[in-house]
Amino acid sequence: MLHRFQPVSRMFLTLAVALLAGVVLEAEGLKIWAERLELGALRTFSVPVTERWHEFAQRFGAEQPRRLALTLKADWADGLAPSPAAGVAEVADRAAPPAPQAQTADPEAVASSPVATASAVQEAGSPQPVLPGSAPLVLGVPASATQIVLAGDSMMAVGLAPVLRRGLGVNVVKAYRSGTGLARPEVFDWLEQYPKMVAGANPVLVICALGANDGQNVQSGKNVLTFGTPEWDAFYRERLTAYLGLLTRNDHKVLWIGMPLMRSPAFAKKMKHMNALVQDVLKAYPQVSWLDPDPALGYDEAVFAQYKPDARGKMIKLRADDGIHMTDEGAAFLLPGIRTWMQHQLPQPERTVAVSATPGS
Amino acid sequence: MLFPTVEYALFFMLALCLGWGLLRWHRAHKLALLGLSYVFYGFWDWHFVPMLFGLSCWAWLCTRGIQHGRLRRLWLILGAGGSLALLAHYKYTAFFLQNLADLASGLGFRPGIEVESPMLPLGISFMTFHAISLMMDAWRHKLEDKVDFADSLLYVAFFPQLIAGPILRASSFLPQLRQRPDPARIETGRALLLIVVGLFKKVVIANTLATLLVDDVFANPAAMSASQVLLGIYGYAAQIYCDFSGYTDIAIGCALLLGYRFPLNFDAPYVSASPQEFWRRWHISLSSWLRDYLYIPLGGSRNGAWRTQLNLVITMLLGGLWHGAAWNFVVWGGWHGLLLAGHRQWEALWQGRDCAWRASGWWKWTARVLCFHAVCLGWIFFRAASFGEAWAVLSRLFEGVWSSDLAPGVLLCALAGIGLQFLPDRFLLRMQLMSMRLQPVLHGLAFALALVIIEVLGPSEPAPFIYFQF
Repeated sequence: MLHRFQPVSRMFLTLAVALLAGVVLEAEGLKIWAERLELGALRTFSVPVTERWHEFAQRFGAEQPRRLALTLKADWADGLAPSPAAGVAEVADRAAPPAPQAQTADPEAVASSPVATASAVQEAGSPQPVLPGSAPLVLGVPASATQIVLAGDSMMAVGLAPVLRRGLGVNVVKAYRSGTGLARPEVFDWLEQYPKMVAGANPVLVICALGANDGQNVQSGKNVLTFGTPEWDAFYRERLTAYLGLLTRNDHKVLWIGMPLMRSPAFAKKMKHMNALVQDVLKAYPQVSWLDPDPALGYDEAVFAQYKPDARGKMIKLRADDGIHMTDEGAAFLLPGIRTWMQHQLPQPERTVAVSATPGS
Repeated sequence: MLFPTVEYALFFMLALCLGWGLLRWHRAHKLALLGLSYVFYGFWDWHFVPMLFGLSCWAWLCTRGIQHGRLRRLWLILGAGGSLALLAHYKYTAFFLQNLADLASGLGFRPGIEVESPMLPLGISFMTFHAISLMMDAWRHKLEDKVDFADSLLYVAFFPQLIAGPILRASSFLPQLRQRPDPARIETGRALLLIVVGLFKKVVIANTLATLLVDDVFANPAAMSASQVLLGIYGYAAQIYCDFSGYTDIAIGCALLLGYRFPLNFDAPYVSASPQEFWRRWHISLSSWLRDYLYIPLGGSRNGAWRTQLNLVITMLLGGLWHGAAWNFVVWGGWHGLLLAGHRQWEALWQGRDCAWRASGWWKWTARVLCFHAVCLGWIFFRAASFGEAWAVLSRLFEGVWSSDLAPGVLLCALAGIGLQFLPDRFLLRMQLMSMRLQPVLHGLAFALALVIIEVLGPSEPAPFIYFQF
């Protein structure tokens, strides 16, 4: 007999069975969930509990159905996922020949210095964002045959990546993932994932914006390393060095975009610390350039502004409402500097035509 | 705290145990739900919990003022004005100042206005609409009894609907709060089915479409073929439907398990054969709110054809602005206003004439296709970050190359997101009946298995609900 309505006891019995079955089938998923929690009481409690439960569940193969499902999904996804040509059209030409590195232009170029500042990389005093497509790169090889990697977290995914993908006119390999960083490999291990993200691609340059999620304490073994302490810095240096090793392999040139000034003073302080630490590590990498976004965004006096007037007095929204991410319009202010850097890294036509970064040029 | 997370599952189990455990003490039951709702909101940012509490108190105070009988109009103006002022402060200050500065610069002035938008509290539009609904229902004498303080607080903050609706009417929800939920009448089968369907729509369809198709198409349409762009537009239509209706399905299911009933918010909107029908099926709680509290007070259809059409356009323009403080949302709202007004004119044209073809099957499907594509055109402006981006997407449709290089996975998701709406009503009913036949142990196992499958099928990269930003 069918009953549309059931008593609450029956509901709780149904949910209790579901909870039990879910906890058994998802033993591995729960362990991963606990490891990814922010450091705190919930994580301290959950990690050992879920680890022990996972060990116990493994003994009688409880995680097998989920693993089997994941394997099936991976096989299925291989057949149904976007092909390089379909999903991310910019990556279509994965077999494009890399630009010969030996032909890198002007050895005096700013980008060849270990740490270049934005004001140096960028054409000084350029008050206007470059409209996408307004000033194409002039290269010795077709732009469509040039492949670059966009790497990082949501600082790359929001604002920067769309503007770069529209504005640079080159093939792009998406190697960014929101909500990630180098500090928490248990959440997302960049050292493991980055090679997978660029597998099969043949990029010549890498542009990276990473670190917004790293201003937090981390667990190293049984110790909690507090953000900003020498121990945390040493831990992060090690992670960053390993990551830079991946970015710069095959002599790839890298542009590291620093964190812009943030609205929250506490967060801005953390990001300032991150910027200083990253810049210090980058000194050991002559092939990595540093782009400070603050001058390009007009934060000359270290005062945060979400909107800024352009030369005509029209208000431009530089930063998203969260006071962290850049808007497309804000990210466009970084485009001239990035183009200039790319111009210096990539082979030039025999008679190099100067590229102006201002619109209408 | 997002619905498809372990944290929410734990929180909800606690809410169920506390809610039903304290049922004997009705007031304690409601206070526990209220406290849990504040905890739920505080998980995102506890700094805004006092604002939520303050808005609820303000709504209660003004409602009592309206119910008291003296100076009713003043209380209503104060109450609605205060609520809208709060919404305007958080959501529209920067938009207003930016446009003021742009206007001044266009006229040759340099006003030196500092523009900055405050951090937008999650779900502020929804809680403001709840507050206004409370006062308006009191004004219209739809609330029989004096509004209880705790009830009005819980009405505004009840966690399943707090962030993204559905928008409840005070006149239908407050009576539910006055009575104890009946522990013998829980729609467990329907509730669990709604939760599973909602999670599938959100985690599998919407998230997959967002991460594998739509974000790429709108980020750089110039790099896409025309067919990819078209699929991206259809994909966004499917994504936003699955994202938002998935959220409300879960919200309705959770409320049912707690013993409360929420209204239907989506009813297969893409089967609509006219803009009017679309708005009867899409975000029903918002469209009926706009109808009752904006369109009808403006005069509705009482003052002639021209004025009716103007009222429709004004209502939809403001509805667009409610979605976001940007001109692309205004254009989206205006487009729907024009569609509604145009459709009304079209209906008037054929009224009283003998036109059997309008009842034919082929015309119904033609109208459905036309209506769907008109809605999709609006979605381009809704999704794009700027007019330039919207134009780039549109122009790519006409300038791009047509090819068959479409990814089968995302094609399947887009088809599922749109096509599932054409399933007959009896399909869901049959699934519900099947779940009712199951014994609790089997039912629980089936529910758990469905959750595991959804977790496995969803992309690893999480995507927040689209309507959280509104």
